[in-house]
Amino acid sequence: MSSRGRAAGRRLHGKSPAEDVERELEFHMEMRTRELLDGGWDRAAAREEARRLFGDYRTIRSECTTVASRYARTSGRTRMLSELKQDLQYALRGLAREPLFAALMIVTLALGIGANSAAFAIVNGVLLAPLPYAEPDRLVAMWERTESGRDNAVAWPNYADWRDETRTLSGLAAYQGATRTTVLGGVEPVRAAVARATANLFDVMAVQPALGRTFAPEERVPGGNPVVVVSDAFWRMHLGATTSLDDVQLQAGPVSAQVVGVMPPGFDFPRGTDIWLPLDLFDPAGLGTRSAKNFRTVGRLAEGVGIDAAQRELSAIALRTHERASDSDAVGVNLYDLREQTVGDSRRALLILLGASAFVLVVACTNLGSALLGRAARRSRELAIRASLGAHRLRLIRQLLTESLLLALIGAAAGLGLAHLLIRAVTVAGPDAVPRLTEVRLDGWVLAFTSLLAIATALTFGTAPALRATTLEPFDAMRQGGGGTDAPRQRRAWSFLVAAEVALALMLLIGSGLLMRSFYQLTQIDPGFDVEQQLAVDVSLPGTYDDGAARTQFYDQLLERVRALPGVEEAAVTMTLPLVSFDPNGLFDIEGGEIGDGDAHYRVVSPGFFETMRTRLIRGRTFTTADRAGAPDVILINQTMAGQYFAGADPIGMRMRTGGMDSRGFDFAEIIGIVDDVRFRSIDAPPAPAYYLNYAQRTERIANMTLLVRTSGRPLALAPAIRSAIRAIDGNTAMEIRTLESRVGESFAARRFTLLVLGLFATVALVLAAVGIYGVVSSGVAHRTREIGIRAALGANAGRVLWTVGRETMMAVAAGLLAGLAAAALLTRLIASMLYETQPLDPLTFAAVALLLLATAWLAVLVPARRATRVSPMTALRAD
Amino acid sequence: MADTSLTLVKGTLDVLILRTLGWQAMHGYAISRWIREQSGELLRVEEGALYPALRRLEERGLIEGEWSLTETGREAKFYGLTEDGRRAMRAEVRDWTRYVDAMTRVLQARPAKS
Repeated sequence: MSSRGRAAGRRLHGKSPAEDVERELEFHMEMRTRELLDGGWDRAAAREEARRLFGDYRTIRSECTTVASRYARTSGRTRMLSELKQDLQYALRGLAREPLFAALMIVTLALGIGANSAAFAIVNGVLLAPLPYAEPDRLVAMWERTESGRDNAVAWPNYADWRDETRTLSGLAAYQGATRTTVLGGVEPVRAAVARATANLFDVMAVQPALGRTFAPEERVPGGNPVVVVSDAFWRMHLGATTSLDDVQLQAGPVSAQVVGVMPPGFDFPRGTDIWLPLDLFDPAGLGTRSAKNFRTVGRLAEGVGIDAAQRELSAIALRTHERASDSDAVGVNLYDLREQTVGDSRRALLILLGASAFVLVVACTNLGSALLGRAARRSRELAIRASLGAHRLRLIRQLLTESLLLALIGAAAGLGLAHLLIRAVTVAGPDAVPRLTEVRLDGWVLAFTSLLAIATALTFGTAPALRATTLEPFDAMRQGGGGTDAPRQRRAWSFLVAAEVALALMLLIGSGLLMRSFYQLTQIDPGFDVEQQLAVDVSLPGTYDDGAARTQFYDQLLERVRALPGVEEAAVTMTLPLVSFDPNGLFDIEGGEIGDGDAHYRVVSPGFFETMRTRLIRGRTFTTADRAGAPDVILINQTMAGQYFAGADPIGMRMRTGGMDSRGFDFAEIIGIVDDVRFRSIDAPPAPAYYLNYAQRTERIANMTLLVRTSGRPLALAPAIRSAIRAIDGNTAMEIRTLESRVGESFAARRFTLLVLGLFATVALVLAAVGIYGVVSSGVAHRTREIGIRAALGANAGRVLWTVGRETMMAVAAGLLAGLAAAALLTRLIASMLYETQPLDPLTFAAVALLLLATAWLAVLVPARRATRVSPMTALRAD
Repeated sequence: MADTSLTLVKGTLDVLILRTLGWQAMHGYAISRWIREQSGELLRVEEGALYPALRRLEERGLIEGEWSLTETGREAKFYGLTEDGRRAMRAEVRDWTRYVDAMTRVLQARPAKS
């Protein structure tokens, strides 16, 4: 049949069964009439007779239409089902015939899809899922902006101004991040995270307690009845999940308070809080001047107000204060979306994670596509025969796609298992690296994403091979024998896939190579102290130590006992721990200079701190036990501060005062020495000006200190002795003993996390690329066994044969390398901010990675190609 | 013509269609013509009645219709037997033959002279 009618081959003519019936009956009438005409009837009579012979046309037509419509409805469904069943059976049989192929496909898919499901689950949980508060988009965090544009925490009087004057915010709360405090009254003394927050925090967050209530208005004034609200986790773990809160009394530090409410499980603000204490209970006025920036803030934008409008209004308020009050250095206010702030720096890391996993999937897809192409070639004869037996091409394509889809779904199921493991590993390894990580799980969204991904993947890697496999003319395919085809077009497709794979793997490898180099550079930084051979013991005093002398006495005793322990070389206490804790800052001024002239970090430590940390003393002396309360106040400064604020002059012997950090901040203290800089905020942040105060002279902030112990042997071996030494002084002291090394190690967590993930993905991509190249070359060799044999028989040496087989693939690899290098040069800019002392175009990394890939590719070519050189001419000629 | 022709016994149309399609796929008009001609114009099928019968056979899965071109290049709906249809055709043809045989024997039998 050269040309077929529009309707030919269709089951239905026209759009509906009614039309189909109409056309069929018309055809009958026409034919009948013509027959009668041929029999000698005249036209009008013939038509009349045909109608008579037919019977009742309208009744018959309606009867036919009824049956046909019913049939069309049911048959559509059953036919589809039965064809689907057929396709599935066919696919299963086909895969069972080539189990190695099937296994390789499924593992590749599981890697590709699993990586993406995990990445999506993490990005969805951390970045996309809304914060668990009402209308979270309206929540903002506020920071004071200094003249230099820096973000500072907020001073209480500034907070009070903003709260009282704002029209753009419907509520504004202040809080102090959770600090570890000894809490009594639960099942046992525990170190719990206690956050102090203004009582309206819960109103601003718009969250209701799961049990009991939050703070009542009369509890929101200084001196009110002390009450606390606890987290769901604390309530379950330490209060036995009791539902009658009436007589649950907690002693949190110095405060004894009644528990009035339990927050719902998802509420975690400030992060990690176990117990919320109303800040207003204490006299806020005593908490500060405008230079003591001790508070963080959170606000809720008023209905219909944008974040920019609020920022303008608050900045105007801050500027007015700045002009009026000499001690306010805030010239504006910076507002951030709360989610933005919560997620912060991890956004980029997570998006890179998502991008890297997408790369892996694309590499996986190219591998699968190339494997399917090879398989289609192997099966071309079978397909051609089926086509010649009348199978429709569309039907064949559908069958091949069903097979791809089946593979993709099995791969996706395996991938979900892998994703589950990955997520578990990540949530265990990285909670310090990425906030909200505990909220990540395989939920409906992830399942939906995975299914979509599986379908898209199947279509991506299955379509081209299916189309190609079914375009072969039956004659060509059958002529080519069992080995299938190796037409130039197919070789071109393979070359393209190899090039793409190499390019993608190269980009991933360069990305992780750059991060690795940065990481190495970071480990080369001298942090200004020695982290090894040290224990860091967080100590929280019970609330009974309510005056400075008592606290000092406790630590004096503690240090005396610990220093006496065998194996202890040196010990000290400190308020803050470099690379671990928050580094508070405040204004200071030098005697004779302008008031509030400088801004520096302050650190409260005991004598022996610099010796224990092995931080170098540059000039002067460090603290001694003679620097006690009542003795002249002394202070140490770091090198950066000496350089920045005392240019030219000798700071030693000069006096300075430290403003609002505590009630003694307005007395001058004498600078007695200069110490080396210590990396504090992060290992790669340049050192900032800082001064050190002696804990015996500044006792207001020392309820929670960290005891540092330098040991001669294994640090943790001393843990029991230190624990009993602390308990011997006061049994109600809570503590946490770890090595300094492990605590500082956590500050590398985010970087290590990104490096790990990217490195892992790059490795997977490299392996996949190698497998892909290997597959392409092996099937090339298999198809050309005969040719190779003949060449060998004609005396070509092994090198010549190798060249013949490998040339094309290595050309593709080279093209892929060039494309990959060019693309990487553009893409590495995206991770420039994560690099340290490493250029985004670092030639060493680029060259090393390109060489690594080239070597891998050559190996993947060499193995199958060498097999070809060993083919004996006779075998080759017999082949086919 | 009408005087000499026979009205079809109810239920026999299906077996005639199946038998006819057993030779080859045909369109409705060809089926009606085949039956008419093979019966020596004796069996008078009311021509329209053929079509509801075809549709019902199709619904039962015994035949399958598909539009195709006739020898003269016109579009027509061709019906062919399915596997089930072929089985049904054999069984019914056998049954009907035996039925007609039996009928014939009874109708032509005479009482034996005793």
